[in-house]
Amino acid sequence: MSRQGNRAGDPRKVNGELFTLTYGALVAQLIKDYENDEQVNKQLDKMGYNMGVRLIEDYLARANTGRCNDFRETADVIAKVAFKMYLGLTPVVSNWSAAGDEFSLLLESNPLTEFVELPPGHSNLNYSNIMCGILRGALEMVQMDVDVRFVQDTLKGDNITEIRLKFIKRLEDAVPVGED
Amino acid sequence: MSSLTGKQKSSNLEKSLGKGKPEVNIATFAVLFSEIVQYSQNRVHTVPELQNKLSELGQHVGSHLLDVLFLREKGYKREIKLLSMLIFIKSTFWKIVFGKEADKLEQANDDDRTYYIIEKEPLVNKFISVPKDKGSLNCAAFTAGIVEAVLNGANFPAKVTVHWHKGTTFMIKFDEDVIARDKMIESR
Amino acid sequence: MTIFSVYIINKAGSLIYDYDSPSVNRPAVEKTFSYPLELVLKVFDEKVVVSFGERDGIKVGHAILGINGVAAKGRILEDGRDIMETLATEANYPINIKFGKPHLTTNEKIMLASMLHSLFAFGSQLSPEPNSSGIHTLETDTFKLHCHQTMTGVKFVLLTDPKQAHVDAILKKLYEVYSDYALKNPFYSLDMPVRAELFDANLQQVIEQADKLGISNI
Repeated sequence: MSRQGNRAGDPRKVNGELFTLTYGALVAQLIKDYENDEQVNKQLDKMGYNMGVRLIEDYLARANTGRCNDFRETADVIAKVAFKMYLGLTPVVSNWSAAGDEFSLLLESNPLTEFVELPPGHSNLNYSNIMCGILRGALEMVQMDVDVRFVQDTLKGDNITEIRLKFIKRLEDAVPVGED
Repeated sequence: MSSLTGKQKSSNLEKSLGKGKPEVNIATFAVLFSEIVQYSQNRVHTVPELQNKLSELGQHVGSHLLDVLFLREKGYKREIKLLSMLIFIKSTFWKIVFGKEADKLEQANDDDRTYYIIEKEPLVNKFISVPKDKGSLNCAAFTAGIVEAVLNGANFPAKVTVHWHKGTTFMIKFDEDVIARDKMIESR
Repeated sequence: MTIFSVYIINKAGSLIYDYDSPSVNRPAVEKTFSYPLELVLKVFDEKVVVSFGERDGIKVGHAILGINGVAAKGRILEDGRDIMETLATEANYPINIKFGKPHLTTNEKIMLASMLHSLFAFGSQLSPEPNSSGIHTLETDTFKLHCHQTMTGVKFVLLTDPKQAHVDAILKKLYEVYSDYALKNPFYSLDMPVRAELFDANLQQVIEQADKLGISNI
């Protein structure tokens, strides 16, 4: 894939290294500002949530997908449209629960963690925790209450990065009246 | 690979980065940067403090970017002349990192230590409107931090500050030693 | 082919942005009067309006928009003078007064936005079928109101000339502008009024383009 030629042509793309390193600078700052890994994880999740509630509007304004009718459709759209659109990769959807209310996103590569090695003494840090917050925030804005967490992480020596999403409920009260 | 693009003259550095990470959507970067600005703002009291904070974060990015560039590009020749280094930053570096060359590079009339890189609309400011009560705040202090770290890492110690002038002007003030050294190299 | 106004209403029904196109020509009548003024004026709803007497295109219900080139802000002029007092003083004559249809005040707009929000929901409840959409358009002789509600509950409302084309494309563009220049701005708080230079500039650009596009499509 040759990209340098069209770089100047697409004003809606930015250099991946700039993004990764900017995220790295944020995590490094949080490690300085907070006492322990749990607090950093929590802060990352919170910031991710704020990003998600804003990013969803960009998604709805630009991607032409309608409302999902079940969680399987949601899983598909997150993996094939949203991840592709915002991070340029397509995770695999797998490990469905029998009830169809829980699935995993498997990521072979994670753009947030390139050139990252967890510093010693931070074994509880979920470096990419911001992703959980983003997914949670974005889904909440389309009235889905979903629990999102990391179950495997290549940064911690696992073979693959796995994010687990569990559907809790539809936020009926928040559904706008008279939606198309 | 690059033949598809019809751009033969791209430097080695650009080619090598072509093999690097895929680009990400500007939206992803913009909401991340927005969160960083909000987080930093909540931990300081004044506009200069906020700019310092953003500059520090930018320096973190800049120092690692330099590693990435050098690491990936084994054949990359380090610039030793001040002007070549500045031109490298204004053109090649800026294009790789921010998607276009910076608009202008100028030297101060009255001071041989001071240079300006002028960018009408810096990438990080693309969606940002600074409210009136924040006065002179320019979030491209983050970009200034990146440039400062790259210069320092390449052995051109300097201080880079950000100003609202012709869009955004990055003022680069080199250490005396850098200028003295450069004069020596020139005279050789 | 014109766009008159743009309103954005948040999911709770509060107006968070309003824009009236300056190019819309609201007919105004200007006339120089000598003392005493032969029109009967009254203060109504914080505006000075004509209550009796019509002449030269000045109609009952018109409000005073300005005096001697100084714009009116409610019952006072921009320079702080009270309009009724100014007109009662003989020394101020001859005097030039500008009349026209009163502009909506911000408070009126906020009220109308919240009513539209309810009306929108009302529309979907009236439907004989379940899960009907809300109101998409309202049409009158002089303008058409278009409303697009996003999946997150934000409403984009457009008042246009009844013949305006490409309204859906314009609404989509406005949503993009909102998602960029409001939501990606670190100084914007969700659901609050949008006050951002870049947002204003980009919204105006969309409207200008749409106006041009409309003309080329006749």
